[in-house]
Amino acid sequence: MWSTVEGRFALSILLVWVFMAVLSLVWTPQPLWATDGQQVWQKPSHNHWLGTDGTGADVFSWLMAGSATNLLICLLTVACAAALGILLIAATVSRSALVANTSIVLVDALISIPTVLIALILAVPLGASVVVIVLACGLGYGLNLARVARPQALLAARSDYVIAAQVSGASAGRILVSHILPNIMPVVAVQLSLSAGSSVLAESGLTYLGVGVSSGVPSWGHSLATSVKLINVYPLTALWPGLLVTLVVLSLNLFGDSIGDAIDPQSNSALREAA
Amino acid sequence: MSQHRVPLLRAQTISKFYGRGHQRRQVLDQVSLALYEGSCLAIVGGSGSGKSTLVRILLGLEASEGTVTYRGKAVEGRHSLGYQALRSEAGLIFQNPFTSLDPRWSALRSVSEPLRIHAKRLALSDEQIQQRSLAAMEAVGLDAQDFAGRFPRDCSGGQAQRIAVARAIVTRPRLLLADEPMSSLDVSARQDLIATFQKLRQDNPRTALILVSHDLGVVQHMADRILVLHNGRVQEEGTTNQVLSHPTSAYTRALLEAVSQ
Repeated sequence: MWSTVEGRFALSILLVWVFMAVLSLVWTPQPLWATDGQQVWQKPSHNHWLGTDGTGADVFSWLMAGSATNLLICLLTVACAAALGILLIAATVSRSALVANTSIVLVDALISIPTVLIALILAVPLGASVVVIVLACGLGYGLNLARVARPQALLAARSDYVIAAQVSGASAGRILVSHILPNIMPVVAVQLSLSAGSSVLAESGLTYLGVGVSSGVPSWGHSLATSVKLINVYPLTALWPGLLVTLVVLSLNLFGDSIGDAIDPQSNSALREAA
Repeated sequence: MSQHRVPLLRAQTISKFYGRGHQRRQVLDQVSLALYEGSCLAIVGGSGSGKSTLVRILLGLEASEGTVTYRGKAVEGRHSLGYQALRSEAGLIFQNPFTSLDPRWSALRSVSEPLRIHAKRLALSDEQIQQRSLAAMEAVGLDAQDFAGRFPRDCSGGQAQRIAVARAIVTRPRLLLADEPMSSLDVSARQDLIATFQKLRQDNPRTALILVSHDLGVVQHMADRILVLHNGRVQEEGTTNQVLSHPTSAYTRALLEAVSQ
């Protein structure tokens, strides 16, 4: 993965993101709640590296603290999507025709519901919160994962090597874990990395709509939502979170491509030589 | 072969249909066979004659009309005694070695997998599994040290098929089913594999073999008995000598003529 330019770029950005997120838990250049009505919409300076927002708060500090929220949302969303997607894939390749057909119909029916609509429905009982983003995106991306990985999962499930394993007495669980999941892992890795990127975008969108991160919790979506209204007056404060979101989404997509190649022995000769 | 012994594997009046309504078509019609320990039965027929379907039914991988018994126990559903016995005592070899081996697994991992599945029941340690797997690879004529770490894409067709054969024999099965194992190999690899099968039969005289093939040249070198299938029906069955020297059905005669030409 480190051997390609794209891989190095993606990994570097993601490592910086994780570092900033962890660091923000113990330190930020300025206190988050230090506002100054005399210093609103300041340009970048020695005290405020990326300037200040409409309340005079330090933009860099808020973005730094937001990176932790976004990282948490990203990890939880990917975990939910992976759990749901793999469960549905397991059902799709089940030996029981009833279970397999039901899962296929379920995925095809639910995938048509937009993530935003799910979030709006969930926001009614739960209110605007990180939980709404994680559940809505986890459900949507999990269904998407099951749909995208389905052809390869079925191909693997019907392959001769799976029949050979059945004849040898392998259980359905063993076949799923040993043969089917590893053979669809490049697709799963790419899809989950796309989902991670999408969750960052979704956080921005849902927070802007008022059903995402609740007000007062730092996040990139929150920074965008508060600054975008005055983008014509002072574009820089909207530029920074926008730039961060773009960079991270791009890196997550490149990371997915690189990891897909890295874990596939068919495209990675180093893995074959190591065996 | 004594007909008084219980056959290792018996199929009685097997019929199989695919599709529904007006698209329903019959692929096997009242097929019966018996296979005894140590014997080799060749199932011969052209493409679409139902050979591979019959193999899948014999292994309990597909449902059908009729009965299949293994060691006298019915093979019906995953929980039947016959099915469970088959799972621990059968090996299967496919036509295409590259699709029958997991592309992500090294040869050693593929060969050792049947042992790992039964490791607890057989009380095998990791070291014993490795030793037996390497021995199986040597038994099919592979340099085990050289091939252990190779992936299917790093092997020729003949080499990959030998790995598949090693996987099928590593548990010392009582029943081997080979579904057109040589049809994707060149002449030289085919000759080598025939010699390998003959050696395996000598080394394991109790192992029974079902060889599915449309190649009578291969069959006459290996089989004790031949069952000729055409359009899902048994055209004739007998000893290899009988069927090849004095065929009774027009289809078998046509097959033999095609070979001689």
